[in-house]
Amino acid sequence: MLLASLQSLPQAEMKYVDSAVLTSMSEELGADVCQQLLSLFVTELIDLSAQLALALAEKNLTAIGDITHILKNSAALYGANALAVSARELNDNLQQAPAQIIQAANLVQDLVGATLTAYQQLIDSAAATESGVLK
Amino acid sequence: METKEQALIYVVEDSLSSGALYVSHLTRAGYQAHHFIDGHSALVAIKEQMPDVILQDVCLPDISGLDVLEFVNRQTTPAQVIMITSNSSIDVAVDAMRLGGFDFIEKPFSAERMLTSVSSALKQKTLDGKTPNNAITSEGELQRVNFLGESLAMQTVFRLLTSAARSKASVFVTGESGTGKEVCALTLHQSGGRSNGPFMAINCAAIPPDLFESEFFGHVKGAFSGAFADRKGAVEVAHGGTLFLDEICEMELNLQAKLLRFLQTGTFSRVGSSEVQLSDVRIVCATNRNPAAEVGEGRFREDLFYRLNVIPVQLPPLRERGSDVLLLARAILQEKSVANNKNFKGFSPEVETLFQQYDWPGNIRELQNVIENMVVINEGELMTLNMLPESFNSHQKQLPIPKSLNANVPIVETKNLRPEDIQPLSVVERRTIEAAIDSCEGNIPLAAAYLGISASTIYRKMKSW
Repeated sequence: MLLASLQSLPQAEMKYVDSAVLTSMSEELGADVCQQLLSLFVTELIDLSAQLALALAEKNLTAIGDITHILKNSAALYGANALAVSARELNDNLQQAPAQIIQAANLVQDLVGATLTAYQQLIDSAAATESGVLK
Repeated sequence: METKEQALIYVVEDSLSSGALYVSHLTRAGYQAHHFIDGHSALVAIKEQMPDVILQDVCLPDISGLDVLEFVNRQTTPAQVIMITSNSSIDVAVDAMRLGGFDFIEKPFSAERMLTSVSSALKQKTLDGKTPNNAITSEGELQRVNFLGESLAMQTVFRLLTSAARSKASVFVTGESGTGKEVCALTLHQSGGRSNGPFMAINCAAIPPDLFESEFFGHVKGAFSGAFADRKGAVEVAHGGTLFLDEICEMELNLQAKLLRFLQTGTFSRVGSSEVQLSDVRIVCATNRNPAAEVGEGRFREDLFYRLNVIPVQLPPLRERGSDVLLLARAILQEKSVANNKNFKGFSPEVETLFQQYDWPGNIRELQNVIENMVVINEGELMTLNMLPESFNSHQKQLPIPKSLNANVPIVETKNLRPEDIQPLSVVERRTIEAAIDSCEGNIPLAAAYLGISASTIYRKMKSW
């Protein structure tokens, strides 16, 4: 189901998802486990997005560092390459001026939102396909 | 030790989704795996049941991963701990290896990389459990065949090697030519969990750049002209063992990039093949240069240096090893006497005194050559001064004076010297010594010979500058 959903993902969303990573994950671990893991990733993204919004509001640079530290790895593992690169770039340059960190964190926040939309759509599409098959 | 099917792995990782992914791969590979998102919950679980292997993130929200590692290693039957790190915490990973971590893998990593490391850790744990007397649990148990030394400097080296043998972390051995870098690597191999695996030594300076990739990764038939058959490379041959890369600083930059890639992924392809293969090797590398300076000069990749320099081991020159000179000399004499069917039992006091005073610019290799020469040419039970080879210690008296140090070419202009131009003696001395070293192209023992002082005097003065 997941692989079929990947192929039907709109072009606009595809740039946030590395389909090769998810295909490989699905083949290695099975579609069910892969879908569960993707749900966990989306849950984590929602949580991190909220934390990042709070950190931006409070201009809490330490928190921005902690959040991007998690994001850069988990996004890479789940094929969210654009987000992973952006989070890594920020996390590797936390010594720059606070204004620049905030600016970069805002970009990461935008990417988290776009990535979330793409992955949520993927999960919903897979679930819909599955329920259609079951019916 | 439990079998692979029953082996218990703890994953300590603050990201829910990353930890769950690791656990899924481990479960699929037949392990029993549990995920903990912070250090305290992991400690509670460890106290309740010690796992076989812990995959431990360095950066945790509550305590440092290093604290967990230290706690684990204080227990009676500690788990093997694999540290997982990001680029930014690579220095911490180096500390982790020194604290007894088994391996470190850099995030994000592939499932294959993780499973290979876990498998190696379990093998090491099996060896530790089965042969406690052979395990590297104390300094005295290091397999120090042909690696002798009682000096403080060598005791420090042995302690470091004892820790290093417990893990598969890369070891970077530095030291002057002839100090025993390859023997050090072999000792490390024979003392660790890989002793039953192959030990493969490569001299990076001796391989033509064109052939390096093939020598290292192997090739398939027809990959290039002259490739008449499939051939395994060093990385493949050394699988399950140790790969010793001597004179690593001589490796060209583009080849360094290929080595780095292999170290990061644990995978390689033979030249001419697209098949990706896994190899589990422990890397020990060596150089007689200063690797940090090579990085500074742009001749050695910084990222490769950090990847290899997890456990740095500096072998002291023989002139700084005090009474080790005689300890080694006696051991070498015994060995060479047996090998050459001679009856030598020892050295005369005069020879021993001379050996201790000599600077040994060629270090242990020079000592071996001198003694072998004496054994082969002479007969008797006692080595005496007249048996020393003619070349020994004589070059200091016969060296021509280089032009730059000739009396006609003063380093400091003394003619019509005004009082305000007079420089402190220490400055003049330093300048003279530095000029001598430059003239001898960095060869300190040679510079010392020209200056009429011992090399150790130069080293001592350089330390004070």
